[in-house]
Amino acid sequence: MMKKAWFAVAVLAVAALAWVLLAGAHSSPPPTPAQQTVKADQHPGYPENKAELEATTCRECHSQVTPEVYKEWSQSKHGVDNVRCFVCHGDFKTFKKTPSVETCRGCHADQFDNIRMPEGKTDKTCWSCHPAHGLTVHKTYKTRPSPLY
Amino acid sequence: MSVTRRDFLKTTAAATVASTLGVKLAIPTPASAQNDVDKWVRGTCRYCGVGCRIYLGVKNGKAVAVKGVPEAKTNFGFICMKAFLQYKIYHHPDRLKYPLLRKGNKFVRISWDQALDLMAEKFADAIKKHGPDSVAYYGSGQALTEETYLAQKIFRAGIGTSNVDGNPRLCMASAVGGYLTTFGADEPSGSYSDIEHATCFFLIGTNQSEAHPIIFRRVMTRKLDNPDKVKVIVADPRITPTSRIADLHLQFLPGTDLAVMHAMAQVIIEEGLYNKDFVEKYVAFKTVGPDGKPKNMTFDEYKQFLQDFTPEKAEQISKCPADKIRQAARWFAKSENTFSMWTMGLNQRTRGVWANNLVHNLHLLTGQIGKIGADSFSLTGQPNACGGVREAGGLCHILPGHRKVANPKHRAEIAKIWNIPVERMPKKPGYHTVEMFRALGDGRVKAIIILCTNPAQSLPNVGPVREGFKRKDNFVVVFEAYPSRTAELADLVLPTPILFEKEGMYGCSEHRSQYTFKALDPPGEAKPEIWALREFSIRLGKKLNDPVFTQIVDHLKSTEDIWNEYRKCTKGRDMDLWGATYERLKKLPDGLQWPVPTVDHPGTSKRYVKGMDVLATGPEAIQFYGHPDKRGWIWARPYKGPAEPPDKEYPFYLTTIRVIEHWHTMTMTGRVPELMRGFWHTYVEINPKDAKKLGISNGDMVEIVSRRGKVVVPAKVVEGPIEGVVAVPWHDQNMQRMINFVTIDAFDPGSKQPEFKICAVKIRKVSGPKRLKPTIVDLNIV
Repeated sequence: MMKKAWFAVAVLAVAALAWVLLAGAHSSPPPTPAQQTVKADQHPGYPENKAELEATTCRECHSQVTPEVYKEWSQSKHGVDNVRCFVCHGDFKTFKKTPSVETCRGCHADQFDNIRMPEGKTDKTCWSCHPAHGLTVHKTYKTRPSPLY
Repeated sequence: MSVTRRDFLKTTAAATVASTLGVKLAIPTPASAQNDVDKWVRGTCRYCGVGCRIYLGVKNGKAVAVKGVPEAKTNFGFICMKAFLQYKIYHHPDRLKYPLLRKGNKFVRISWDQALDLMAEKFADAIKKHGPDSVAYYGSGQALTEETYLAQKIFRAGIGTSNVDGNPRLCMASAVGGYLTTFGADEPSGSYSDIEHATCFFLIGTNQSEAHPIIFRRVMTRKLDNPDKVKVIVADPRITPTSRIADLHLQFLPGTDLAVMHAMAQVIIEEGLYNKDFVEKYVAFKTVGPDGKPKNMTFDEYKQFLQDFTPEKAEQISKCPADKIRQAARWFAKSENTFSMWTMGLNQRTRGVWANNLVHNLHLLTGQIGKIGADSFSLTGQPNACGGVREAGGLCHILPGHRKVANPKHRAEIAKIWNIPVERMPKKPGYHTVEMFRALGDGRVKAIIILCTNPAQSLPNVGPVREGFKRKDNFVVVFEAYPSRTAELADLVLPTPILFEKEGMYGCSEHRSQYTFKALDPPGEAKPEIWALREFSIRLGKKLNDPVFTQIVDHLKSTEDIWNEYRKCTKGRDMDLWGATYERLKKLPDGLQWPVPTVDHPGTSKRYVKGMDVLATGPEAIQFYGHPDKRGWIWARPYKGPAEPPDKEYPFYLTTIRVIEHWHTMTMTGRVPELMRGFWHTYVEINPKDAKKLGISNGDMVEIVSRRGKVVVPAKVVEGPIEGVVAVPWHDQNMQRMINFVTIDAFDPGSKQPEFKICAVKIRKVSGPKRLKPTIVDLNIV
């Protein structure tokens, strides 16, 4: 029973991948970055695999599925200080693959007001210079891996 | 999560999709504008004792966003995940909106008029038939200072009972006891600002990376920016995420830390690392005499006492390696500035006061106090345990302004401010928390008000507590914003606003009082607690034919009215808030640290130091003016382990812990989906060696049984707890997973604080992994 369900998911996932990669190949030009953003604001496998996904924390999957990203975040200041995945990316229903800069505003209101505002001062995002998921520019830190996650 | 699923995800295209549309692509986002918010309203975070300052973003009368206040000296604009999503707790559909009266298993809506009259009638009845001590008030370190002050005034000056206690009894009472016995005065002497000057951190009994994340941020930054200069020592039976920045982790069996800290002192004296000058000038040594009173000791007698606690002897008791104890002691003593912090690991103990004394001992022995960068700093758990309960008289043995119920001079001072005959003031302390709920259970307490807290989940050994609520002959009034395990057992539930829906004061760990502006209206008919308490007092007075009930509350209509009367109680005291007017507090990003005796005084960041503390009036550079001899007292406390250590039948230690996603009993955070994503059911951390012996794999369902009750929760096999110890987060509301059915209600004889952190259990696997659903209590409202 379990194996059948997983097979179905595999088929769907492959189909999703194929659709995304081949969408432009037949009838229209490749998706623009904006279109990619819109499509990407749905967590892969959701809501088709709602039950499965909602029985898991972000880290349980992502420490395995996106290990480089997970490690980069985990060893950074944001990781050590527990700015966890859903703080920036939301939960499945509120999922944002790319957070808005208002998310960063929560802790960095000063920089948001003085660098972003007034409107139009810059079209850069915070991560134009502070790339995810280390979110640092020059500094590197030596931190021990977490015992728990 | 099963292995099959992991493998599957690794090998399918899903993984490829995730990493190829990687965030390394510069995906442009639309230009942002702050039109998601109409106005930003400043106040304090609703959650922990750090006292982060936030702006609540309001749009069209609804809370829609949160950001930190960059200028605030508590958090400098940073906030943790709970604060981040705090706006979501305001408009959840489960918010209680109307007074509710129990009818059998259901609740029916009634009017405020009916509710308040019924309350007054029930309390009057109990007082007339059984006397003033047959009623009680159980308050909270999350209530506003003004609410706590008003409630304790009504109960003391009106009803004439000191059955006034609060949940800080479960949290901070031992820290209070430690400060009072060591320094003669409550609360830390230093501030968070010491962190940026510290060169050694001693973090014991605290998992601050999850429980005080924004203080941890400051410690983490200090350490990561100065990796060689700053040393971090973490002392905890459990390896936690806090240990990630530790240079040294001391792991030991629960309750044996008295031996470990005495051993550190032994090393410090043995190796001549103590500060001779400081000790001679500012320290006295005390033990307890045969008459139970403090007795002087000499330095040599104290040194002799410590010979029972060499690191080797401490290792035998605690399992903490002797060389690690030595290393910790040397760093502590030799560092330029050592700053200690602790929370429940030391406080929730049957010898919590002693554990607190022993940390203070180390600071006094080495002179690591009374200077910038060094302090013996107790972290407070709740946002207003200090400001409201410890300072405004919210415990059964204290009066406002750090005074004592049992002190006739103190009673007279308060009676004068309250303009009542001093004979009305109760002369002795009332029921402390554990006793209060035992009294509710055996009929001594007939009517109780419970405000902004959840004892039917948060008390230890909660099974009998819950039974006590169910008596037909008692009347339980619960003030709440959300359904809870306590509201579900109430006779009358009264809907309250949440913080930004009213205005008022919170005082955080660093003796700093901060004001929150009103940003929103509460839902439905929810009304401020101060309004309801005032109405209750007036109506109760009419039923008892006693005009004093009206007289004591008549003029207290707004929180500012109450704050101004309370300020009078603090005038001239060590916690002087006379200079902290609403006018000043409203203008400041982050409030004022007492003592602040006048309106032009800037507040005090370092107590006891001449030139920095206006109350240090004598000639000495450091004056611990809480004691007549102006010295800090080093206490030679005996060794005593926990009340219920493991034995043959119950061979494991159980300890209770916290996770960052949730606050306390999850009534608020449990309604935020993103936080639930991180934690929607509890679990038990088991050391891999123990798990192997018991045949328990990660995810297996495990039964945990004590002499009092049991739970069944999934196992998390992890190198967290030391062998022989299992650890369970206490937030879960589910009746099969609520860990307080298992915990013990033994308490510290001095502080009356229960030993949540240690009891004896047996554990066994009951099944393989099960998919668990979250439980968030609702009320059956018709």
